[in-house]
Amino acid sequence: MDRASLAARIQEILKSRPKPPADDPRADGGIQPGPVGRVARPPIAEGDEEAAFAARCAAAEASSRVLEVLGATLVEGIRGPCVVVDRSYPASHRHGRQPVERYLAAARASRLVLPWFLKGAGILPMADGADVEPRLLCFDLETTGLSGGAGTYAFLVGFGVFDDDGFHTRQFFLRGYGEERALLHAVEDEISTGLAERPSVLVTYNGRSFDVPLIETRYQIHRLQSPFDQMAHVDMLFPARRLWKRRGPRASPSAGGAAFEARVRPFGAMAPDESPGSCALTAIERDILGLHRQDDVPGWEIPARYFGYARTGDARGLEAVLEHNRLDLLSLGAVAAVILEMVREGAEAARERHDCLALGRLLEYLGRLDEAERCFAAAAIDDGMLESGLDRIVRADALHWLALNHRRSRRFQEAAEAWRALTEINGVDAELRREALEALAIHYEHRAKDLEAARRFALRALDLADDASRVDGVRHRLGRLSRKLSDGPGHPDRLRP
Amino acid sequence: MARPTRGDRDERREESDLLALRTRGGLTREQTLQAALHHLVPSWHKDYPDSQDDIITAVRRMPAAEAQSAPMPGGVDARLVQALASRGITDLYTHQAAAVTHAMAGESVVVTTPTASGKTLCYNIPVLNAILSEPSTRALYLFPTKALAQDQLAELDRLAQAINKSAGLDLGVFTYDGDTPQDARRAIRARAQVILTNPDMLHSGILPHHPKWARLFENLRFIVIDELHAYRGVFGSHLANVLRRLRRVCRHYGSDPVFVCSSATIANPRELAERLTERPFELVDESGAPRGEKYFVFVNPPVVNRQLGIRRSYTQETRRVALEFLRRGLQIIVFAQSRLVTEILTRYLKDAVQGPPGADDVVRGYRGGYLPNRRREIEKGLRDGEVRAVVATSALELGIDIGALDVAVLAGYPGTIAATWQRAGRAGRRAGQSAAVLVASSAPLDQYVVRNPSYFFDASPEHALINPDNLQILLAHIKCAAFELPFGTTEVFGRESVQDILQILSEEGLVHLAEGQVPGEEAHWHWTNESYPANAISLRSVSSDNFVVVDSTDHTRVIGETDFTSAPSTLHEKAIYIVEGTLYQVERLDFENRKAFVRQVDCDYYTDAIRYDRVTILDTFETDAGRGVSSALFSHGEVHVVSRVVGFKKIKFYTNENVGSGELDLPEQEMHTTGCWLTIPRRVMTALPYGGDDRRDGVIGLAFAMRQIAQLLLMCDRHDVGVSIGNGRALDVAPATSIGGGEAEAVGTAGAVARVGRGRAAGQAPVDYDEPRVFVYDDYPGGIGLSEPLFTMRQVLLTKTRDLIASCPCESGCPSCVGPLGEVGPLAKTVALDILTAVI
Repeated sequence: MDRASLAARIQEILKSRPKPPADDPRADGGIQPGPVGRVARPPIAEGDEEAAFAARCAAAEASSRVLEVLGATLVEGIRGPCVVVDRSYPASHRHGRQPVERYLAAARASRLVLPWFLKGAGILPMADGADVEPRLLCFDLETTGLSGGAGTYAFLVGFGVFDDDGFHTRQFFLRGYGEERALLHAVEDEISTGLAERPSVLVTYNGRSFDVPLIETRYQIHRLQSPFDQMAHVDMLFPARRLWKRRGPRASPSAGGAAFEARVRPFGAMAPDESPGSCALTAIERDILGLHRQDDVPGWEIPARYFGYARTGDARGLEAVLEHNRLDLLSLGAVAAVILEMVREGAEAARERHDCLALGRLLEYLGRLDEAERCFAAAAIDDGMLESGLDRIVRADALHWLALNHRRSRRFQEAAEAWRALTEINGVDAELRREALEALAIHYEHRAKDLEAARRFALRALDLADDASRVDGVRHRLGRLSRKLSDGPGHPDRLRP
Repeated sequence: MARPTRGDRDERREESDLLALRTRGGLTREQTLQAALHHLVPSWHKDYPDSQDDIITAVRRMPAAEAQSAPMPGGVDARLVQALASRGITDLYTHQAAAVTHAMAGESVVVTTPTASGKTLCYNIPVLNAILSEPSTRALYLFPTKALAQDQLAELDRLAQAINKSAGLDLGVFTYDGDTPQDARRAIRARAQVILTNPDMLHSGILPHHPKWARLFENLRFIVIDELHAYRGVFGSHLANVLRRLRRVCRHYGSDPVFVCSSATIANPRELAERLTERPFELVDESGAPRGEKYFVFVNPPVVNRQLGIRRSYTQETRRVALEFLRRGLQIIVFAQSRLVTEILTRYLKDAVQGPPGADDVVRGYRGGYLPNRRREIEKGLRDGEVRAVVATSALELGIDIGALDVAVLAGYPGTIAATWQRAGRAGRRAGQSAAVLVASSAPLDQYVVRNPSYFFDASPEHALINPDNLQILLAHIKCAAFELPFGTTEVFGRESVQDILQILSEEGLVHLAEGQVPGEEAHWHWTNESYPANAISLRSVSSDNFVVVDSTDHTRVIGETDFTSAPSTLHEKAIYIVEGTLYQVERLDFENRKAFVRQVDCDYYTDAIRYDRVTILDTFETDAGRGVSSALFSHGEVHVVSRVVGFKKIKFYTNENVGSGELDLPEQEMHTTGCWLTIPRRVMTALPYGGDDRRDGVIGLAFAMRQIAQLLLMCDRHDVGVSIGNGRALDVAPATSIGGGEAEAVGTAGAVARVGRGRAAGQAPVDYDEPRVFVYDDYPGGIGLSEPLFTMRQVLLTKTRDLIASCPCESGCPSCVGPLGEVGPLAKTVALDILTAVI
């Protein structure tokens, strides 16, 4: 097969459904082999030709100016040159509602709570105990796809750190596919140099399942040791989800730390492709930081922009991608600062019942049970201000978690009080109420030894049991209670006939 | 929990056989089998000569064979020797010893031996031995299905446990496939020394993520390919490319594994292994395993109408034969040629089993499209002996462990010698007698085989053909390979340079050539697309689509699935869809969403789709104009095939009467493939002293016979080739008529053998029979390499076609030569012979 017909066949196959050329005279049983179809090239009109020529010239010029277009420098490493882009956001720069210095201060105070996030997940390489303030190394990739696997490249490796002056980003850009090894070495250098100065914690947003495995894959392909595999790593997506997943329908202020005066948009103002309570970084930065990006590159467009650059060498479309990555890094640093501060301040940080509850859940997840309990208790306070149905629901939820916390610490009386308070709230989810009633039945049967009270709670639970196995469970308890009540002659609480 | 060994199971089966003794009237299994054979073959004689009888055309006795043993090869680790001894294995069979010796010497080896000859030790010994001497060693086992991998895992695991116990080791043996839980995958990647998987998982789950598997690829010493013969045609062509990718990745990590393959008996195991892996192979094909005595009987259903050449329905005959054994308490397997016949026979046998409700559960159907749970249940029932008869398609031909049964009944010739032996091998134990019975249909190929038993018993089996360089398949895997590792500018993929293809892919924006950074470093083609190409490519077919069958009788549930290409002919509206003898009618086919909604019905017929094909010539590679003035043109090249299901017939159970029909409006399916074609010159056609209808019948009859001979010459599966008549022009107003494709042919009854006929769907103009072409094409997109060999055999094809028609004893055409009278006209046979005489 000659090249033209090969090309035609391949194009046909790539279009997936082969179609015969409808009017090809050779299809009439002709003998001579030849191309089956034609390579479709859009015709260029006379007038367009000049414009096309000019465009090509501009592209060629741009390709020789990659460094200039991106505002980058070429750093010579031992393994070859690498394109590096450095930018700084001064302390006074506003990102959302707050200036960088506000986040900076919050992050700095984080050394007290950062180890909570690292339990078991990595050792924080502290030089001399906890006195050294660890560096938060924000990390975010731009890639040629989302699928992962050996054919997905990281063409931009972005880092960001706070220091006294502000927030500084350093981006490593893959100028050509052939330069990946040099880029990986440069990234490794960056990390080890930073580590030599101060212990660092890698901070990412969904990095545990995306960015870190992806870059490690790149090191593995080049058969290099990855500098990431030993690093302490906090993925902020998990705490963010615990804190803000259920923020959606609320129109009250202060979903973030009290000091940040974050404002949640009214429900209904969400982007069309976004679900309520979205924890995508763009949704969090908008709702929590109050940042509204202008002319941001949509994520789905990024791989195509890089492929376009790879083919033409024209990097003009990539400046916006680098800016997108920098904003991601800064938002990541800011969100991390907000989360760390909330965790540090604990119950005091949250103004609203709802935030208090979410923070409690996060602290519980971090294994800080005492702090979590304080949050639950604060969220469960009956201050006579339970105006909205939502407040009641939140309070019931808080009581539920509080009770579980008490029970886990074997403070059964306090647990029972929380359960009982829960059953007294109106408009509580039936399942939650049933669980509380059953817990109370258990408490009165086994701990308080008040069989009649146990029976009363069990009967109320029976009303709410919705499926057969639950009904059976409660019936079983009731049967046992009745037997105990009638067979236990010596029992003081025996039911009289 | 360890599964019982084969030996244990045989014992247990003997127990359950004892239960069956009541029906066997106190006779032993052997006596019962003899009694059944005597009843089946009235003039039973131990060495019954072939062709003495019109109905029993052959009875062959295959004597028992003694085991031939060899000592354990030197160099096998003492701990492994001890573990084998603890499982009762001290000596090896000769073929095992030979294979182990080759593999240990670093030579790739393919072993072809019959079922139950202990082939697994051929690869388990060298693999475990290598792991014992160097624990970092890794091995990858490939099985064509997940179920087979599970089966083998149990066996390998027992051996590994024996070693672990005695040597205090912790050998890691795991399956890794679509069923492996996500949270277990990381651990398996880290610590499995032997990974059992399938080509599909290797293709889409392992190779694209090779960096995660770096430990495997760095230390990969052995690749085991079991059931090598399963990788023919499309699947084999895909696998060859997956292996090219695998070896590329291995090179990257610095390993160069040895292949150990096992295959059922085919003519070219070594060639197939070498084409699949593109490396030299040693062949071990002398089995040292013992086997029991076996009888092979050929049954040709009696002629019921000599004039029309109609024989008794072979499904009915199969029913009779199967019941001879089943009623005597023997455990049987019945192989059918299609899903439809499987269901029909299941129903026949269930109907014949009398008893309380549920008694017919001893008869089960088994075919592709059943859901896995149902399949596992049937397999277990067969092993336990609770299921006494299973009616299966080739789905049970592969080495799924169902134990050894007493009798295999083959309803229709499976199409190839290799498949026939493979199916017959499902009956038989290492000791004791077994039997296989082939019941011929009236299809010409069946009739040829059953009337010429030595063709089957004495000829070599078929060649397994693959075409790894089928452009469509090659292209798919080049994309995957580029995703996995960039291509160098001098790199080859398989045998060919792929630079041209990469250049074209780069024009399409899928790859990009980037210079190396260091001066002198080679430039590479890098993948520049967001997609994960392996996801879009199915190794089993050309389209990865399938249809699910949803039963909405009581509550909605999925009861089966069907691949994309056969959906229009089996799941069209009003089609009867049968699962294990239960009838469902398709109420709605949701083509968009790939769903068919069915409802259980009670009716006495099944349906048979009518399909039309239209072939367009795209490119002619070569033409032979012949020598004489009226010689036919014979060509091969690229063709485009459009097929459409245009209607269906309703066919009554048992009588096979045509009791109705319907028209359908379904989307066309199309493909690009290779074919070869006979052009009958205008002067030959116009010189025929017959009317237009008769001339057309002659061409149709010729095509009908030619299909059978083509299949015989190519030694391929009947579904591998399509035959059609047309003019081959692009905007052909005349659709070609398809010859005997689809399910109905396998039914093989007078009424349903071929859909060549006078009746033509409305709105379709007739083919121009002034200069007709008969196409024989590869029935797979892109072709699988059949048409070129057929072109080189064109003279034999024509003369054998003439011989088949000329030697048929019927008067004026029958299902065994030019097709049944009634579907072709009375002069078809004469005209077909005249045409052939003129063109040869």
